[in-house]
Amino acid sequence: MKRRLFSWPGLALATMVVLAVLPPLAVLSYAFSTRWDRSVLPEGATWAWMLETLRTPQVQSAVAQTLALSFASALLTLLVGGTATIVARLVSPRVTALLDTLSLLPYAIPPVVIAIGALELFVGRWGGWLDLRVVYVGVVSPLLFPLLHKTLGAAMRQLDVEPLMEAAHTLGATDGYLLRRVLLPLLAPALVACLLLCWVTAAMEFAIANLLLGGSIEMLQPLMNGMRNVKGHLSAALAVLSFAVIAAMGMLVEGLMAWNTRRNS
Amino acid sequence: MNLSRRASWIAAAPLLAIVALAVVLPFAWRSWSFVSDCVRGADCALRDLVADGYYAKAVFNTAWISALSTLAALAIGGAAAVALAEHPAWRRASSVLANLGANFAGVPLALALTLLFGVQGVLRQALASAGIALPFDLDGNAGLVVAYLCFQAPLATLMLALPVQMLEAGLMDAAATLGAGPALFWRRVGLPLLLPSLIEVGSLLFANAAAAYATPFALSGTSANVLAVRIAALVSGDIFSNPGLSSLLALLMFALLVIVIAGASWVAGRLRERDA
Repeated sequence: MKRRLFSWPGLALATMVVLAVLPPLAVLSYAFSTRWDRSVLPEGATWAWMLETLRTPQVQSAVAQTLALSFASALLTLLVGGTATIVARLVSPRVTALLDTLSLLPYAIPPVVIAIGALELFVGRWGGWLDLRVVYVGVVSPLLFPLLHKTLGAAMRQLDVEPLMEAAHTLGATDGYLLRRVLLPLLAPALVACLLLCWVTAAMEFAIANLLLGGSIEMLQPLMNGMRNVKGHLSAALAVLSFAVIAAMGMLVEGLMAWNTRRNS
Repeated sequence: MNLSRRASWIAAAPLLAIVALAVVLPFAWRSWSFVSDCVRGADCALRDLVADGYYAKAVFNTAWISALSTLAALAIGGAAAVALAEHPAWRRASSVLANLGANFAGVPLALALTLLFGVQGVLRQALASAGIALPFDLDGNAGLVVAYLCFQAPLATLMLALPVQMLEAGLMDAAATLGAGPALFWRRVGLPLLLPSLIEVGSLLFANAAAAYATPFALSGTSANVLAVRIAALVSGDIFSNPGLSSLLALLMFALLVIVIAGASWVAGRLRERDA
């Protein structure tokens, strides 16, 4: 076949890569340079911003709060959503269809609307006896469910559960036994991957962290936004650090899912 | 213990309860208080919406910015997916980069774009000294389209990669054997077969753009005139607190998104039935 030098798909791919890579590159350059305002290229490579970010007490407390609250949300999603998705996929196409629809709900009622509703009802009306952290975890958790439902659903389809269930029934094993001794161990890597994905997603959430917690508990994303105008370099360093953690988690998730596929096939 | 159909409802109950409490209840409660205000003839927010063109403009802005960024993202992402189907060697690296781009939204994206294209932005300055003026301001609507495109195009590529790949395998070779070039193939075979996926992915991209709050808020604060920012500013806002109007805008956004998502899934279903 003749090789063309120019092709529309090739141009589109290049455009996509530029759109995807240019913003992260800009933040990366800013985080590692002493100044970047005199020419197209940044000047003076430095680690100073990174170190200063890590040493700032405000950043440390925001990171700790964010990690704790987003982990709690992810764990709740895994327990509640994981149970629903696994059992529904095993026995009930109707409940599975309901959960499929449910995972479209955050698209129709976006985080801003959820945050404002929670602010008015749970903080404004019932704030006296509801802890803000509990409200945050309860409100973020449904937002994470679509991610879990999709990832776990894919892992279960790959596992081909039906023949496993039939074999178990033929051998006289109960569903509970099959679930405990066969399915959950097989799904364990996928479950850990789901937990990590939900954790990262919750930690990078802005709307609810800003609107619901703003003023009382400082979270990572609002802090990054607040620092942008005053200490831009530190804000950039914080963004780079977060994405480094996300990339590491992403690799871990991919590794876990690949291991899951290899082990179960 | 054997699992029955009923067991699956019991297993789903905690999730359903949380969703009902945390998502549906506050939304329904706010919508109800808006409706009952209007029925009682008290401060009906509908009057504010009609009287002040500013909020109607926010609805309009949200619709066209989301639609434009979605169409552009579908074009770029769809074509990029074709390139990836033709060159399997590029797939891995591209999907890593697309993943990064799709997640690089909100505050970090605003920071990056300000560095590059803000009033003092290095690329804007460099282009200006070469005599080229950029056709958009970051805090304007065109700037929002550029910003959204930065995460929408990679997201479209990720979501379209698989459908395009499944289509490409074999079909294009068959078309080439019969003498059809790429242009004819895509016009007569490829695009019609891909249309249901394009419509479904498009509806999710539209919803993604319409719901975006962090990106417009970080780029231009509460002055960004899109629905998500207005809904928040009318409640947590400084001076112009009007919860009724905020509820009305949230209801409008809900209606818009439900129509787009449900409509797209219905049309895509009909198209698939026709093809099958």
